[in-house]
Formats: sequence, structure tokens, C-alpha cells
Amino acid sequence: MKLKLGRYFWKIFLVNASLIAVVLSGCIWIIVGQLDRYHAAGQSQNLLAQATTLKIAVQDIFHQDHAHTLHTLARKVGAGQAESLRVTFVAIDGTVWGDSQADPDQMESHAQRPEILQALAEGVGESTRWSHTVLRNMKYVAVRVGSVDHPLGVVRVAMPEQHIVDDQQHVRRLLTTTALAFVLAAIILALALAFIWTRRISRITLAAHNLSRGDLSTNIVVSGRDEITLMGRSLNRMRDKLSRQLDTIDRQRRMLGALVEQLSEGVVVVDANEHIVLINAEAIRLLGLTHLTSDSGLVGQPVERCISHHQLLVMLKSTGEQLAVSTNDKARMTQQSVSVKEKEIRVDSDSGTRHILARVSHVHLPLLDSKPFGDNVLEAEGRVLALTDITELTEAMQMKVDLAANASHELRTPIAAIRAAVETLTTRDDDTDVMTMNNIIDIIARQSVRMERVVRDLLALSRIESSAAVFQADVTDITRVMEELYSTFSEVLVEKKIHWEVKVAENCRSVMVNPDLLRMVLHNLLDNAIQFTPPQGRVTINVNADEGAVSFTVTDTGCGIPQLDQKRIFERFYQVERARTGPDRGTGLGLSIVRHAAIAMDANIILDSVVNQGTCVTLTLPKHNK
Amino acid sequence: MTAHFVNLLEDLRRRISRMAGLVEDMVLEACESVDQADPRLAQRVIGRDKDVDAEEVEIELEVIRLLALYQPVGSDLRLLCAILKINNDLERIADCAVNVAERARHLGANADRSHRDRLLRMGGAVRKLLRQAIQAFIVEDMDEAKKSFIGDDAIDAFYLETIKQIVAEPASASDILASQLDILAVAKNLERIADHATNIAEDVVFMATGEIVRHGTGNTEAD
Repeated sequence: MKLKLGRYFWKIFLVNASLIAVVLSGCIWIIVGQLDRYHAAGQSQNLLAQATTLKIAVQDIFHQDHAHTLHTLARKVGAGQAESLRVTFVAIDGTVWGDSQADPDQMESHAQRPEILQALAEGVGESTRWSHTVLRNMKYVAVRVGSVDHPLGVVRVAMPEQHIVDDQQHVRRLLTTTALAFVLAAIILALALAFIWTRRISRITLAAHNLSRGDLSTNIVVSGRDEITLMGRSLNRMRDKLSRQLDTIDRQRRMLGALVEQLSEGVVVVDANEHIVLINAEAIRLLGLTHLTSDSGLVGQPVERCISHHQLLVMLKSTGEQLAVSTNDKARMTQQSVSVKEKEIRVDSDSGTRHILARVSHVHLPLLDSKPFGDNVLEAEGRVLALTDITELTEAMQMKVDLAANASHELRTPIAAIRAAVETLTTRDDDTDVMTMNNIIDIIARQSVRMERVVRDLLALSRIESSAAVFQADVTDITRVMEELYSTFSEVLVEKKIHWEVKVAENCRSVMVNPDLLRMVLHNLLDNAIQFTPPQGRVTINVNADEGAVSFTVTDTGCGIPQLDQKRIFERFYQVERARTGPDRGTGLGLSIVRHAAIAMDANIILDSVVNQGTCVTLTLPKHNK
Repeated sequence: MTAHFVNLLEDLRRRISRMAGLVEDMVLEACESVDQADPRLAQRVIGRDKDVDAEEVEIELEVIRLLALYQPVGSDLRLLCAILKINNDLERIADCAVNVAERARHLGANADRSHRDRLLRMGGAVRKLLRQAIQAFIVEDMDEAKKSFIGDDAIDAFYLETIKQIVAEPASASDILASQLDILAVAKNLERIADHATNIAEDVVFMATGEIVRHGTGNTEAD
């Protein structure tokens, strides 16, 4: 908005101008009236002087007999004057003896004229009235001739009444010019005053207008101590306060936004018309909308555009009235809306099916475009959808269920075999030969060993996994560990004619590691390697140190592990088809123990295997363990 | 067109999106019923078919009503036509999902693990394809629509592989034969779902550009 002359300016100007005009015209009226009076008084004096002069001149001849002389004198005097001076000689009885402008014989008696009556009584008389003789407003001055006791008559002089404005051209011009000049001056003065008074108001109005449009950089320059200055200061204070408040709101909004964005739960807020009000990054990820956000924002879109999952849509479907409710109804509404719907849903994603726990609850959203009505801000009912990714939890639970089932299954098989053997023993005949007996006992022995192994492995696993267990690292002599391992497996190695090779680098004869865990890992790895390597094969252990990280590599020339199974062989009880059907099957817990022991040691396990060529497992201990 | 008509169109789009979500859910549950051999899950899929049928009729009536009342032209007309066709395809997909669920119920736990795994992978691919097609409709995304044309070939490959596997198996006992028929039927229905999904993607292309990309042709319809 530009600073322009508004209606307020013109109002001030008009008031000022009319005030000045009224005052000026009053003054002029008074001055002109006063001047007029002075002028009239001067005229009277003039007439009186002339009358007195004439009286002195004629008092000796003022008689009936000299009436003719008097008349001639009157005519002469009257003619000698530039102004139309009228001279009249009136006898005591009112008879006119001489007149400068009319014939005395034609004239009526002047005895009743007010100036003449006054002059006879007081010596001097004066009056102003309409003369029927000359048809003008005349000023008469009469002077008595003779003494009070012996009056002879009256000398009267008259002149048309003169008005200063009417008669004096220059005076009139002067007055007009002055009046015009004053009017001009008054207008300029009024304009100037109006401009000075409204300038600051306009400036404040402009600033207030900018403020209302949200431009908080406006500063109102204030000086002086009047009301307008106070208003300017108040506006400045208001602006500062507003700016601080907006700042706070903005900071809170950004903080809340950042919080919602960082939540590990997905949050979607939907308004009464089922349009999205808020959606955070986690929700976008969980709902698989990452490809959508690049081109258009999701906020403001219909919910169907973002959420395709039918159960979620059903949960979000508003059941209550969609009308706006004021905060007064809030208590009632909250009572109704405490119910939170909860459901577990499955969502397809690129990384497989995800399990998501969805909760929908009611929320009161302020209507953005509603004006506050008293203390009641209009609100509408919306929905908040909270999404929690419980895929891992579900999988962990599934794993637990599987573990129990697998463990029982693993134990049931040997128990069943032992039971069958025991039954055979109890129902045996006396003629059962020793061979059969030995066979049965052998079965019982083998199955008990197997059971023991399963239980031992399970215990080892749970010991490693238990968070309470602490495995202290200690200086371990690797060569000795290798010797121990060789003595454990020597029988099998000789039996299967497997070539056993150990290479320990010079700089890692002793390593800082928990010996029990290391032994457990290597034992299980070697057990597998020997088991799956055909006779005449080769099993190699390499121990190397590379920049402080010690790696143990167990390589065999066995049957290898198919690509599909490689991911899963570290799971509990998971066994590759051949291992499951082999004559001397393992417990399926070996590699699971390896994995958990490696985790406990903070070590890394890499599996590299090619079917029918061999397997190579590398255990890498982190640097600080050296 | 009037704002009222625009609102009605938007409502219609939302309804069809909702229906698409319902159908997708049915397909997912049908696939799961194959995996888990859970007759209750299968029963649920079958039960939901009547919702889809009712919604299909309502959407069709609404489209016809809008066509008659407002006589739209140009992109609005194409949108309504596309909705009409997509509506039909979605209903067919729901029927296929019901067929899958029925076969799954019949199949129970009889199927061989390898068959089951393949059907699951196929189901996943079909759902991805369907998702792409529906997403393409919702956001009118041509790239997404064209992706689904490519995805269809993979589904066909799955189907052919299933047939090959079954043919390779020795035909012996009758119960194996029955389960083989079921597996074949599930694969067939999944393949048909993929075909309908491709149709939807084609309709999306028509809706956005007026181009008919069916049957490998590239005819451009006068706008």
C-alpha cells in the first residue's frame, strides 16, 4: 500500500478550512462594521462643521425679509460642493426659507422633522432617513440659529448617507484582495495542517496493514509523546510479541514435526473427510509409498490414494458423525472415543511380507479454516493410525515355537528308538542270541549318546545366548587348542583317511580370546567339515593375522552347501537334505552354536561354499581381541 | 464441467480404490490359504466375494448414471470408461481369488513343498503386478503401468514351469492326481489374475493418453 491521501486527510482539511473561513469572515465583518461607524461619525462631524459655519454666516440675516438671500446662499453653497450637499434654512415655524436643491415655496413645513426638533431643543440635531425629496437615504445635521431662549430658526445640511464599502472603490478592492489572499492562505494552512496530522496516522495505518498481512519486519518510527506516538509504540510492542509467539509456534511445530518424523512408529492422521493431514516417514516406508512422495506430497490427498490395504481402510472408515463439534462437546466425545481399534495386518513389500500392528484411535482436529468463536474452537473428528512393524517380533515368536517343536522332535526320535529296544529286551526269549542282544544294547547306547548331544548342544546354545553370561577374553595358545582339537578328531580322521593340515602364522601363536568359545566354534566347524568330507579328503585350518584382526579359516573338500540353503543353515535345527538323511546325522544345532558364539566374541563369520567342491568358513576376530 | 461433477468423479475414484484394496486383500488371503492350508482363511475369502459383487454393481450403476446425466467428453469420458472396465476386471480378480481359495481348501496339506513354494512365489509376483496396476490407476503413473506389462511374462513362466513339473511327476495314486489338479487350477487362476491386472494397466494407459495398447497394437484413438 502506498501512502496516499485518504478520506481522513480530506476530513481534517475540510474542518480546518471551514474553521479558518468562519473565523476570517467574522473578523472581516467586525472590522468593516467598525470602519463604517468611523466613517459615518466623520461624515457627521463634517456636516456639523459646515452647518456651524453656515449658522455663523447667516445668523445676522436670518429673517423673513432675507428669505430670498438665504435661498440664493443655499443654492451657492450647494452648488459649490463636490458632493451633493443639500443646505436648508428653516424658520422657527417650520417654513423653509431657502433650499439648495428645491423650491422653498413648494416645500412643506419642516417643523416636525426629528433633526429640527432636536436642534431647536438641544442646539444640534441629527438624523438619518429616507428623503422623499431626493429619493435617497440622507444624513441630516441641523444647528439652531439664535439662543435657546430666542431661537430664530435652523440651518440644516444634509448629504446622502455614505457607506465605506459602497462608496469607496479602493477600499472594496482592498477588501476583496485581502479576503482572497486569506482564503488562499487558509486553504494552504489547512492542507499543511491536515498533511502534518494525518501523515503519522497514515504511516501507522500502513504499518498496521503490513502487520495484518504477516509482514513482521515493519517498524514504526515513533517520536514525541502524543497519543499517536503511544499508538505507534503499542503497535511495535504488539509486533514484537506476535513475532515472538509466531517464532515459538514455528519452533514447536518444527520440533513436533521432527519428533513425529523420527518416531519408530508409522503415524497417519486423517480428517473427517478422510483426507490425509499428516503422515511420517516411517508410515510411508511401512505402507510402501516411497515411490509416491517424490512427485507429490501426500498431505491433503484422499486416504485411498495412499493406503490400499483394505483392512486399514475399514479401520479408518469414520463411523461417527462428521459434523464439526465445539470443544464443549469434547468431554462427551472423548468418552465415546476411548475405544482404540487394533489389528495385525500383513503388507507385501519388496523384502517379503511385513507384519504390521495397526491401531486406530479418534482424535479431535481443529478445523483449519474456522474462526474461533469465543473460547470454542471448532473441531472435527479425525483418526490417528499408528503402525508398528512387528515383523521381527512375529518371526522371533515363530522361531521360538519352531524351536520347541524341533527340540521335542529331535529328542523324541532317540527316545522312541530306546523304547523300542527296551521293549524288545523285556519281551526277549531265552534263546535270543548274543548278537541280537548286543545290537539292541548298541542301539540304546548310540541313541543315548545322541540325546545327550542334543541336550548338550541346547544347553550350550542357551548358555551363549543368555544375556547374563560373560565370556572373558584371555591369552590363548592357539597351537595347544589345535592339538586338543586334533586329539578329539584323530580317531575319525584316521578312519576316514582325511588329510589334516594346520597352518598357524608366526604372529598369532597366542591370541586374546575366550578359549571356550573359540574351541566351541572350531569344534563345530571341524565336526561338520570332517563329517561332510568323503574319505581321502582334506581339511585345512589356517590362522592368519591381518592388521591385528585374526582370522581362522576352515576349508574342506566336502560336498558343499547348496546356494538356497546357505542363508538358513545357521538357524536352529536347520539341516541340508543330505545331512538330514545321512547315516550319522548331527543335531542341527552346530552352526547355530557357531553363530551365537561368534556373536558373543564379537567376531564375523563368512561362509563360502560350492556344491561338490568344498566349503570354506572364515571366523574373523576383531582387532581389539589381539 | 461443474464442481459437483468433479466431486462425483473423485468419489467414484475413491470407491474403486477401496474396492481394489479389498480385492488385493482377498488375493493375499487366498495365497495365504494355499500356504497355511487353513480352511477358515479360505472360507473368509469366499465369504468376501459377495461384498465385491455388490460393490461392482453399484459402481457400474453410478458410472452409467454419470454418463447419462452429465454426458462428459474427453478425459472425463475416458476416466469413466476406464473405471467401468477396471471395475469389471476387479470383480473377475475377486472371482479368481475365490477359485484359488476353494482349491486351497480342497488341497489342504497334501501339496508337495516344492509346488507350494512355487505357487507362493507366483502369488507374490501376481500381487506385486496387481499392486503396480492399481497404483498406476490411483496416481495415473504411466511408468508404473508399463512395468506391469513386463511383469506378466514372469507369471506366465511360473505357470509353464508348474505344468512342466506336474507332467514330469510320475502319475500314480489318485490322491496325488487330485492334488496335482488343484495345484494346476491354483496356478491357472493366479495367471488369470495377472492377466486382469495387465488389463487394468492397459486401461490406465488408455485413460491417461487415449492410446489403446491392447493386443500389442499402438492405435491412437481420436480424442
